[in-house]
Amino acid sequence: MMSDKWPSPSPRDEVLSRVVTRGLRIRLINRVVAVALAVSAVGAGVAVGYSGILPFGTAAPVTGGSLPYYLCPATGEAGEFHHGDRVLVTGVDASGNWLQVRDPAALERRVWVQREAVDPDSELDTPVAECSTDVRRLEVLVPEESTTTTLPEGTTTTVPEETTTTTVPATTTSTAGPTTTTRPQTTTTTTPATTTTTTAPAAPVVASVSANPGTIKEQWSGICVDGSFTSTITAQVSNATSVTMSWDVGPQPRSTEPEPIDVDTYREVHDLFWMDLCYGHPYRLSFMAVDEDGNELDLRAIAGGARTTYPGYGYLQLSGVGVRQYSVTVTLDRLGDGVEAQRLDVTIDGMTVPFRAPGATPG
Amino acid sequence: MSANLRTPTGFEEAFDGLYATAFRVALRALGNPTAAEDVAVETLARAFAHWGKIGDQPWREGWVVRVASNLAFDAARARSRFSDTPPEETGREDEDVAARVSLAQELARLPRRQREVLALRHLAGHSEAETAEVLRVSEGSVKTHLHRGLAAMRSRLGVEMGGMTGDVR
Repeated sequence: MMSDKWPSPSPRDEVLSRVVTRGLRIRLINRVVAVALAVSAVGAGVAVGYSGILPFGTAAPVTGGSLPYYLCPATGEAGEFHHGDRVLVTGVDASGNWLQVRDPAALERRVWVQREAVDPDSELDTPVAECSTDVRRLEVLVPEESTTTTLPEGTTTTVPEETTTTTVPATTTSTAGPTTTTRPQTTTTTTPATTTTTTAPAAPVVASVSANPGTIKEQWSGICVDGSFTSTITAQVSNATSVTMSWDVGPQPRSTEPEPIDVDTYREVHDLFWMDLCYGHPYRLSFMAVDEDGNELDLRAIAGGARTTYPGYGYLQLSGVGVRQYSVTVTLDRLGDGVEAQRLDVTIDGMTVPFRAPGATPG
Repeated sequence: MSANLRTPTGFEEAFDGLYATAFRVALRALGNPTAAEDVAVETLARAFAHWGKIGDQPWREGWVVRVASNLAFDAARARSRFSDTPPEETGREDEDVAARVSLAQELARLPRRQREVLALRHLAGHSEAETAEVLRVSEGSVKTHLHRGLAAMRSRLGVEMGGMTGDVR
């Protein structure tokens, strides 16, 4: 069809032909980039020392439309894969009807999908696995009770090692706040003879936060890899009567109330960002939870952004989980002329330190 | 010829309108029909590649405008960067390119909505009503964002803005 108002110097059909040829090529490139990203993500998982991710498992694509996945078989839906997504199968349940796979949004986690919707590349030869909620509730260390004991002058006391509780890496040093990393076995304390015991108020707990897909994209350039335009963010929040998720990109903070989809599980579908992320704006995502007594969970950022320095192509990858100590894990990659990890930081109780996962080489 | 091309459902029906929009945006940014055609082709090729996601979306034209304007300003920037001509010998066309690059840079610093309104209104040539429809906001909101965006641009670009305002229209 040739329009009377065709504006271009070249004929319409010739232009359309160029568009289709180039479009097919872009589509192919995007697929290659997507595979490369998947490979690099796996590599990143190994690099930061997550345990038990690789090399075990069988790769398999998801068939059908969308496939919900679950934290445990037959529990509340925690997210979904899409047709063609490739997952790494790491186990099968005793019934054989459920597969344990790695969560691409949080490589250290395992989630479960129904066996019939996955088409393995090869015969499944994976061990029988059980769902353990404790395993995927990643190190939620909220001290229920803190005790300060003061002793008579000159008293020498021994503090058992097991009373020390921290997940702060040993290399971390505190510049502010009461951080205790390594406590000697024997301590000599000289203080007035009083004893006080303080019990922290009960409060909701965010056990884990995941995003699926683990990328929240910006679309200024129009370049993106294949994938969803939205990300489903799921949080497990216990002991809460209301949960609010808030985020800010640049000057416009926004918030919403995630949808409760199961006991203690909340879900929010996050739209894509347009151009807000392109120009140095940090991205922060927080959860606020309140229990029936009005106790509030600390507002905690689970993702804080670095930014590309060039107003071009980028996206945020929410590969972290929100827990008390390890509150931020963000990688920011740049697409278009290569994939380049910018930063990987963790904020520990408000103090940002370079990420040092167990077994990782300090970078 | 087009009958032999395998295009996604609805793409060819939407092609003429979206291409015209992309071409118009690029032409206003670059001032060169041949260069504008290259940008418009690239824009529509990206739309083709992502048609499954944007094809049914009400904001697909806005998407095309954004992509086209970004590509056009990238092209203008590249032309400026790779010009062998010393600055003192630049002619009118190079001055235009430099001005357009400045405009693009300042446009990029505006808040999102102001940027979208300016791009649709002045690069895509939409009316305020059309801009409002594409962005799914009221005309009053369009006017507000337009006013604020232009005021910010004028403030940042100073005396240059008067000329550029005329240029982008």
